[in-house]
Amino acid sequence: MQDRPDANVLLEAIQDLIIKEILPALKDNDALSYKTLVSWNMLGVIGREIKYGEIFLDKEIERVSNFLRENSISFVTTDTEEKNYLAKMELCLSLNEKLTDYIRRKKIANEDSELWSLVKESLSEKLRITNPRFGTGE
Amino acid sequence: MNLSKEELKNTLESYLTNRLSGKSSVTDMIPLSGGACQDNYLLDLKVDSGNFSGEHRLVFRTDKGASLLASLSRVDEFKVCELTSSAGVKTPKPYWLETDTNVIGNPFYFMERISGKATGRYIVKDPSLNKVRKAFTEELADNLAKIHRITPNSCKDETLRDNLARHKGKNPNSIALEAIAELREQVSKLKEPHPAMELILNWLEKNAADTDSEVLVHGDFRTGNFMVSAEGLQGIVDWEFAHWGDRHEDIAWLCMRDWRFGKLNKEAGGFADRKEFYSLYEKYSGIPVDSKKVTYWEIMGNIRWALGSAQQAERHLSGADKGIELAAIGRRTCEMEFEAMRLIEDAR
Repeated sequence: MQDRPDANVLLEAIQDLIIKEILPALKDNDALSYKTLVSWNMLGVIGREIKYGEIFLDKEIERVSNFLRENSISFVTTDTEEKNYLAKMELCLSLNEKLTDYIRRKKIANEDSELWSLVKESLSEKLRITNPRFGTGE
Repeated sequence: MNLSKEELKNTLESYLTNRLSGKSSVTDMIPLSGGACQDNYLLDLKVDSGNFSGEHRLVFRTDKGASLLASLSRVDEFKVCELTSSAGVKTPKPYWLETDTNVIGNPFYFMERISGKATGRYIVKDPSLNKVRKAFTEELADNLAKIHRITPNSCKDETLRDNLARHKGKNPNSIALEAIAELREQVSKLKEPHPAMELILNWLEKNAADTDSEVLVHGDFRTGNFMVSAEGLQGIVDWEFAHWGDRHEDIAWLCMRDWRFGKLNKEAGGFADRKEFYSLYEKYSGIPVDSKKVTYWEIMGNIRWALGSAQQAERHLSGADKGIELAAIGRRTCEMEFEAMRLIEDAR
């Protein structure tokens, strides 16, 4: 275990520095101000990914693998409990490849379908990390 | 050929001295960050004699050798600028196209440097523009109508006419299906799966909109590509995505959520009401806007920009062109995917 402050507190300290000290010093340089603001924003993404990334990843793996199972699409089953974050990302990627292939083959476009809701749910979870103010109607 | 700034300056001076029949000196040359596919400089030129004698404030444009989606070559972009400029569209005048790659390594041209700023935040929020936003909206609608008056039949340059047919003829009777085929090809090249893109493309295919008449489409008609000052619209720029298409493509692209820069209730580019823009466009073009077709092309626009975002991130990931802006934009792909799905649900 690392000593305090934890990663999120450190990120917040860097964000504070950017907003309160660096950005005002760059007020005459539009291009660099913009890149700095983008960087500040990305630190927020990193912070939220540390907090929620794995929770959403587990949910997505469960959702997509259930769907694939229900529709008799074979995939490599693994026990996600034993996997680290990166291995889970790889698993989720391969499940989504199967799902994408299924949508393409079956030409699914029905906005009332279970599949539509499932895909949209994954987008909502991405948005809660990348841009929680996007307004997903939740 | 990879020239340093000094070598480029010297080469351009002797090139222009010869081309303009008058001793030409580059008095200032400032690189612009520019687009992902071009290399641009602000360039001040002094010509001592001949037809172009005098001082000129210009922009110098050339390729970086990389291209994004279906962007036009510099040569075709120059021709489109000429075409639109002579059709009365407010856009910087282009000058002195050179297609011989022996000069600097890539084709290049110059264009008039116009005043104003194009940044989104400035256009939608700056108080200095409060009084001109209404007039600027009207000017834009007028200019868009002028762009859409240019058709394949009115284009006399056969090569340009062919090159502006962005879609390659698998579905010659449907501009929408051609656009989908092109998007599918690009989506299949992405390194990660996007189930939402597949669902959206399937929907677009099943609900393909027809096109009444094929017109010149700017292809990136949005806040960010309009040079504006307190005196109003100074010029429409960035023609690299121009192509023959459906007029509703441009109207829809302008109204996309991502180009509103935080002013979500001003659905036309963050500076005007959507219906206001439609009626101004109708006033100047004499052609009714079909709001269902705008929705259709807005869904198409969102998936196109979702794809563009993923491709820009890939430029960073592959090491082709690294930078925080390119990297960060990859995380915005889901915004356009979500918006496209929302628009489909609302279109029921």
